[in-house]
Amino acid sequence: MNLLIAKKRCDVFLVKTIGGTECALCKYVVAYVDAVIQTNQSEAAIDAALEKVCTIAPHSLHSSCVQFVDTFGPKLVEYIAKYETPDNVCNAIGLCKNGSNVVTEGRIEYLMRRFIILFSCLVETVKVEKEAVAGPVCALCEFVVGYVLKIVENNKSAAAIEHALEEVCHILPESKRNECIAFVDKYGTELIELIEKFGTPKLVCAALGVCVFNAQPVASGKYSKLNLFL
Amino acid sequence: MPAVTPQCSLCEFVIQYLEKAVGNNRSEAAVEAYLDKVCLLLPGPTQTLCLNFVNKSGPIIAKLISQNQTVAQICDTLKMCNNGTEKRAESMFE
Repeated sequence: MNLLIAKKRCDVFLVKTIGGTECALCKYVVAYVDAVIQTNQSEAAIDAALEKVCTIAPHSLHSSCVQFVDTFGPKLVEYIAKYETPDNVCNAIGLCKNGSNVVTEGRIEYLMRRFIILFSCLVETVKVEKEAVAGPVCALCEFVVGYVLKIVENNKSAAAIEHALEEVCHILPESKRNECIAFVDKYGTELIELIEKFGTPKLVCAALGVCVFNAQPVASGKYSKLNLFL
Repeated sequence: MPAVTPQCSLCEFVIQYLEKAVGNNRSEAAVEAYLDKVCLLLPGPTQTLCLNFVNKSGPIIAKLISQNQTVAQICDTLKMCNNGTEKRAESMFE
């Protein structure tokens, strides 16, 4: 495959799939273009608007903005006609979900997903699927950690986490409660430490060793080249 | 969006994870305790790549983290990011 084409495709893919600011950025650009075409729908006016919109965007967003306009600019007018509002347009493009960011994730999960995406979009012959060997303990763990994080919000102190851990099992139906209590009793100390440290269910439960992901057999071809390289 | 190669993004993920995992205790032993965990987060063939990387470079990764180096410095030293690896990466996909 031609490298430039592959790169371009991956860049578009990346713009679509990563970065919490992409949704806000999308809505900003769409709203601006929308405002312009309310008064002047000529091609020149739209081109001028697409040229200008990133120059008046917040500085930190400038390069993402340019990339967004390069990727979606030519289609924006069509999208606006079809979907009408910035929220709808950005939902349709896949940058927002119900008008909000598609993803809220920590730095580590962002880097992890970026690697998976880059790998799988450059090496198209290899299909990368996330296959969690999600046993019941894994599901329980992710529930417990998710609940605790919701309760403690930004106060990830050991005391706050401990307090939330004491509560979490009691909101479960009776049939699940004992299992939950046994889980919290067994892993309580480690849970407190890992929640403080990682702050997302996936990372906490993987570090605890109760959630693991399948390693697939190694494919050949392009992939083995990458493998040799590493 | 910066141009990032798969191997660079793998390295950044692994090192960032390990640095977060060990927290303030940046000893080689602490890093080594998490070396066999980090790749378990990844699915399918990406996990195999990660394991190859960690198996090959684990000891040096532990050493560099214990020396308080940053993610960028470590991935640069390991030749996973920048320093000519872009070129080598490109040749893989042509």
